[in-house]
Amino acid sequence: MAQKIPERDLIHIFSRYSSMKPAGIEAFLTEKKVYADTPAWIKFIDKSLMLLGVIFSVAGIIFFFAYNWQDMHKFVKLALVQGLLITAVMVVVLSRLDLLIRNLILLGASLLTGALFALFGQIYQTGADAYDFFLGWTIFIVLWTVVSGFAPLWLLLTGLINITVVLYAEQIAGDWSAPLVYCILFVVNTALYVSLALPGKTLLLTEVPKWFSNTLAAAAVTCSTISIVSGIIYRYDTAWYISFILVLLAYITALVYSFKSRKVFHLFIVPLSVIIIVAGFLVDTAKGNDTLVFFIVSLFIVSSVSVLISQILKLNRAWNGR
Amino acid sequence: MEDKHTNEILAELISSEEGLTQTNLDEIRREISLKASLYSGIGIKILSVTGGLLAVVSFMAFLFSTEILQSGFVMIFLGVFMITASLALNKAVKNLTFDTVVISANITGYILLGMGISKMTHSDNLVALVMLFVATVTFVVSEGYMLNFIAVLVFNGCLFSFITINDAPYFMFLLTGFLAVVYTSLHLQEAYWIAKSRKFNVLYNPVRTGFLLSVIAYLVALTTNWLFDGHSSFPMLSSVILILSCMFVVYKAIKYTGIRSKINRFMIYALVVLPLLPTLFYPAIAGAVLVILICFYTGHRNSAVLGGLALAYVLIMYYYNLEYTLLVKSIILFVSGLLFLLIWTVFKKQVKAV
Repeated sequence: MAQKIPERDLIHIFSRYSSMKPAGIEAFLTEKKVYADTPAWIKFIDKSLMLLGVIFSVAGIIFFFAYNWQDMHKFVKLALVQGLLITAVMVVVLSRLDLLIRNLILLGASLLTGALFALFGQIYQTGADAYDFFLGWTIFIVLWTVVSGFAPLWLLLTGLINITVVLYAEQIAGDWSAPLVYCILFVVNTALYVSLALPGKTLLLTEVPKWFSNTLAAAAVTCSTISIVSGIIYRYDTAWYISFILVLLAYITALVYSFKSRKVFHLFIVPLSVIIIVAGFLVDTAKGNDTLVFFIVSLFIVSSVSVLISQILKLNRAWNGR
Repeated sequence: MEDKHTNEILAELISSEEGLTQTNLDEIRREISLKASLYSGIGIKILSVTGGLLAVVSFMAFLFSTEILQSGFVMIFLGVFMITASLALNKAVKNLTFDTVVISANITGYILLGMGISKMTHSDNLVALVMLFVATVTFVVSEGYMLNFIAVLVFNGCLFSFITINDAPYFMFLLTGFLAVVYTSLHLQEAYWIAKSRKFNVLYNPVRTGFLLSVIAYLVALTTNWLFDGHSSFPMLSSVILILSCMFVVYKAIKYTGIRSKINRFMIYALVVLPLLPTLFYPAIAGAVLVILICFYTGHRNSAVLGGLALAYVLIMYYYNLEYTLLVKSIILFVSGLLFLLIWTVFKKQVKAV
């Protein structure tokens, strides 16, 4: 598919090989509305003033409560946050504001839910970093997330699930190895990625922004890479073998999917992960002979990434006719 | 081939320009089709930079495990060799395949050269001076995106290091003002720079991006407390430079949008300057506002978002460092918020009236 080239890039390239005068270039950039025109400025000033006004006044209110915080009764504190939470949700449900604004308020309400749990933990000394605090927070915003289908809210939920798993492993499970913990995170993030972000799967999301699907995929691949590499460095346990098989299957599926759908994104991240894993393996196997192995590893990384780039370019040319 | 939209604009440009040779046209078409392919895509850049950095780490680990780094002379020799090799390879192979090699050789070269000079002379100033020189040479001899981008970061990083090495924090304010002025001129005189010569045209994008990151890094550095020891005139001077730059951007934008009413013009200037006046002793805020304004004006939306994040950060640091009680802070914030909302409603009415 041919990609649209921004007007700015076009004029840069054109002026490189012609004797176009600055005035002509400026006229082009103005005419094509690359530079902001009056409506764009009005929209910009409008949005900025509103945003600044809201953020500053809300910050002022928060600072005011922070000033009086020590002297407030615990019920007043709880009532304050709960009152805010209820107001926010009422606005989302009852008002006729723009959908984006209501979604943003819901995101704010989801963050307030966390603040409420933290406050509860502070007053009743249950600790602010306990895993059940994050578990509670996660469970209480699941419904809002599913109903809103709003990508930033899904990202918050994903983050909370990840934190809950890590804290559970640290505080309750105790003896879970790093390969196991990261393998679980890999499975969780991959499942979210497959069910939320793959094209055609817009069931749970109103729209899937590119940054969202890329972040999820990158999170999944980062976890799988850490799982396998940590297993190599800290000697192989049972969990590592399970993780290895799962990662292998997932990577093969991702690559097959790439070739079938003719999309290159997975071809960037999966091979990069494999390169890092192989580098980790090389460093580990040659313990005691650091000099040689680091030299080989640097050569390996440089050459494999170069080969990878040239292959991706070749494939892209074959798929997209360039 | 290119899409319909691109072809239309290209045809329009060609018809308006006389004296284009067939060779020129072929070159233009070739570059446009490169641009449309993955060549300039962010994916390839991230891959080559990640690969490059990983390779730098393991190669430095290799060098540290040998006896090579015992000798300053060997390090300087290797450093110069690596930098020259990266420049030569980038010139010889016009293909992104070798970007990883080029990036890792270039960065390793800078590190080795710096360590070597430091070991032999024990003079940090000399290290920074030589780095500055190497970065300048890179601008002259190379057309590569990544090499020039790295060179801008090294160049501005060296200027910063002169300040820390010689313990002259007040210069930081002047330097930030100076860099912001250069950055502003890069944006406002884009047409001039890209029409000046082929060289400037090619260097424009990496230099602009490098400057954006440098200016933001300088602004973040300006929020640290160690700078504010006694020299209150320097922050003020820096703020004045930055606010004047903001006004100049507004002046250009007003000229372009063709607002004629004197009252409206005055109100727009006041809208930019008045909120910045209370921050005169804290130039980072005016700097971040400047970045947002120029990037929005010249249509670099992603850079403007980066400027917005910088503004959020410096504002938080500003209120955090302010030596008032929470009550006073809350009053200042709340009143400013109400003021902004008031101006907003007036603005909305004014727009409707027009």
